[in-house]
Amino acid sequence: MTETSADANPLMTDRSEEVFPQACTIVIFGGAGDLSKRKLIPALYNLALDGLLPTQFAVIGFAIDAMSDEAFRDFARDGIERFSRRELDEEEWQEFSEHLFYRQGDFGDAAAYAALKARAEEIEPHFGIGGSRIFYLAIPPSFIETCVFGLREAGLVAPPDQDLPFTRLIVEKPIGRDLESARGVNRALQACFAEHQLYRIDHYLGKETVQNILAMRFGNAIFEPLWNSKHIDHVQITVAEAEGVGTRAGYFETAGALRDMVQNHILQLLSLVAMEPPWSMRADVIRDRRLDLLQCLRPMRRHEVEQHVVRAQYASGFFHGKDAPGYRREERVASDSTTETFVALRLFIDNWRWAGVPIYIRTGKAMPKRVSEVAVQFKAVPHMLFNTDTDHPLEPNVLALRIQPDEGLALRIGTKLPGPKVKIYPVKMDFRYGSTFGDQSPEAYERLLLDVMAGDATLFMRDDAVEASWQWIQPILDAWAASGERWLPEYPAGSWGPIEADRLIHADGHAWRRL
Amino acid sequence: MNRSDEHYIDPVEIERELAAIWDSINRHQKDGHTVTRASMSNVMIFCDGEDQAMDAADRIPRLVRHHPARVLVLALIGDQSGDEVRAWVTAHSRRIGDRQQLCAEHIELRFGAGGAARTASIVRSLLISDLPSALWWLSPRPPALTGPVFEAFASMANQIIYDSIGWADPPRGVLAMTQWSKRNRTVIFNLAWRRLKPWRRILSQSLAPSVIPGALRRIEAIELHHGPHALPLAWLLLGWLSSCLDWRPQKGVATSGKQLIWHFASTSGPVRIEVRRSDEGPPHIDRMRISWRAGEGQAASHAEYRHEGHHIRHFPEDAELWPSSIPTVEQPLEQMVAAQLAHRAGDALFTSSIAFSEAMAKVVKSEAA
Repeated sequence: MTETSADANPLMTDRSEEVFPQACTIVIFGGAGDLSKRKLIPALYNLALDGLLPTQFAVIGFAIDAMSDEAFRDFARDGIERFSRRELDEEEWQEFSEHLFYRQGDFGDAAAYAALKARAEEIEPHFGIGGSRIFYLAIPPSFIETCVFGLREAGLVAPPDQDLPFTRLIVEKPIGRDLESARGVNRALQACFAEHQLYRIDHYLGKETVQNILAMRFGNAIFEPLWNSKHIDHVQITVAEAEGVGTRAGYFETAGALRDMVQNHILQLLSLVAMEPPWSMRADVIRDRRLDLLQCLRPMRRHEVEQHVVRAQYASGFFHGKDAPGYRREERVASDSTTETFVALRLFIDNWRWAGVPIYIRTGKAMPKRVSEVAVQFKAVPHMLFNTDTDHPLEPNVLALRIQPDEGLALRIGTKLPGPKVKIYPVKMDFRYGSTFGDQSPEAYERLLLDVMAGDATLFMRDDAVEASWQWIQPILDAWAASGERWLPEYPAGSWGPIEADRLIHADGHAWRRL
Repeated sequence: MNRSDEHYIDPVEIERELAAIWDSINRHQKDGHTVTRASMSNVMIFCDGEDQAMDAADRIPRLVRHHPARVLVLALIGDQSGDEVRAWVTAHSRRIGDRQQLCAEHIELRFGAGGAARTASIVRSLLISDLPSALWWLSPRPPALTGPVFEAFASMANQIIYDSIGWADPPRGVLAMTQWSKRNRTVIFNLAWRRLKPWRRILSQSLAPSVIPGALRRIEAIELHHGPHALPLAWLLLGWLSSCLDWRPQKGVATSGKQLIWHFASTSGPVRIEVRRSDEGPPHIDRMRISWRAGEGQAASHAEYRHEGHHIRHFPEDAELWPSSIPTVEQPLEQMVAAQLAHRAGDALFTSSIAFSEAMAKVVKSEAA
């Protein structure tokens, strides 16, 4: 989007590296909800603390709950005190809170949108906001369609070819629960907004270390020449959560690990790890490369699903020495639930670079610890000069990109043990963001909200990428639906998954990394 | 940090002493973890005198917390013999979880007037290879005006970080630095530019064409009040404005020790800028009033900006607009330096702004003459 010469601000030139968020009102649908309290308001507050918010901004919480502006400010303050990465600063809070407002409304009621519009138009002139608005749908997916049509009918969507004032819409995942419903959501979104006005958020992409994947791959000459099937033996992606489903049981029962983690976070991660080099850092160039990668995933036929995919449920076990209940005994979980809490799978990328390289993915709840990483295991040296004892072969090089916790990267290399014998021992070269740079990394939502205010869609999902990932997932969902299984394999809570997952990877002569 | 003679070591022994410190820390690890050294840069800190060397030593632990580095404090001690270079070493470590990580090595070299070249030869041998080197000029003297001392260390640096706050003669300092920068490829950076960030943000946002159409292009007068020692800050801000808005300085008059008046030409007419210094207060820009003429269906108007507490506040004349503010995000000097060390490429906007600052300095000079 370009500004006209009359609108161009000579004090905001592209000579500077600074990000320029534009003056706007942020309307949070579901403003009185959990996401708003835990993530969005603390993220906005931290941006304000860093002086990164535009001076002309306002936040309007919009939800069914009855609340005054003052009550919303109390709600926001509580969210910041409990969930912000930095403590509440009284002076800064006073400044920030003056920008917070609330409007009660039923998402299905046209009059509520008219009232919201009137409220925004009443507030905005005082802040010098020229009508630019960001609508953040922090709501259950079932309301998306209602809300976007409500916005359109109320005249709250700026024409797509208009630079200022702008309208942008942020949509939380999940986008649909299968390919058909994802297409339906996209159709509804595109009936009211142009694609460039849409920001489908996957907060994983806002994490510093996820972004560092691009920096590591394309900012260093040493990795890219090795980044192919000639040198890489296999890739393992692990996203493990230490807790059970807890308060998310209601949602999780209808989703499962495949929809909740693989379809979005993990495939987005994979696309960054495996995509071809972009020719520029422009949003659409990077998003094109990510899409290319998703389109190269080898389609899984229904009868192949059992061979490549393992699903399981956690049973009772121990976590840190304490009893942990099995999934079916969790509150708001059906006692005969067949929702998977764990998925392990093997996939292939059918392109020149990755031909024949297996990618192993595992994700689950109630695992021994919270850890997310991408590990690239390189091939063994072609000729064994050292450690020729076949019982103790040389361990291959592994580059592990840790997403959380202890964000950073580690490279395992072989080195000679001191002494008269030539004995090779694996050592780890470890880089940790926190200990190297000292500073706290901003939360993913901070970065992503700032990007939307600046109109940068690089870290957001485009419609075609969402549909491509569902396209790949769909046969797995279909196969599971057709199987009619009433029991899934189990793994004890607090373990790394079922024996079936081990068998999956052992069949190829590999093993899951011990994390 | 008063050290007795036995604390100093022969400069030849520096690396050996550092190795001994490493060994000692490793030996004291109870859990078998080895110590990791993290280094992102070599940072040379030039200090004028004993007191400033002590000040630097206090700042280093916080500097390396944000930017782990090998730090070399280069202290020019006026009464020390020029032949003698005294060295002292230590290391700064901090705990990461259950183990210790050595973040930085701290080497101090004290030398007398005339000892810069000798000290530079030691520094050259101590810089860690394959890492960028920066020279942080902590001295209040404009670097380029210190001649051979600056040249001796600047030649080893990829980036020079200085702070124009407190310069006794800002026009002379500005001219010297911009001219030095034209002759050298080394990136220079004035910390004043970082301090101006909130000012730049609030001006660019509150006067944006989308907020007040045409105001920026019709500016006719600026009144700026600053505290003691903050003239260089004001100068740089005005350099930025004139660079972005394409104003050309016509003449500048220093009417007294406390007041400077510039006349610029802009596409929409003349612009008068008046800069006044307060007798007391902190070294920052206190307030600013920007007035613009009528035009394009818009009335003449103005906006006021005030630095109050930890915020810069904007008070528009338009009664419908509410005052807005931006936090100043004040950081200690070493944290600003740490942040700057991560930006090794030159900042084109800063470069352009100092070029305009130089043009402004030139007209003031010629008027004074």
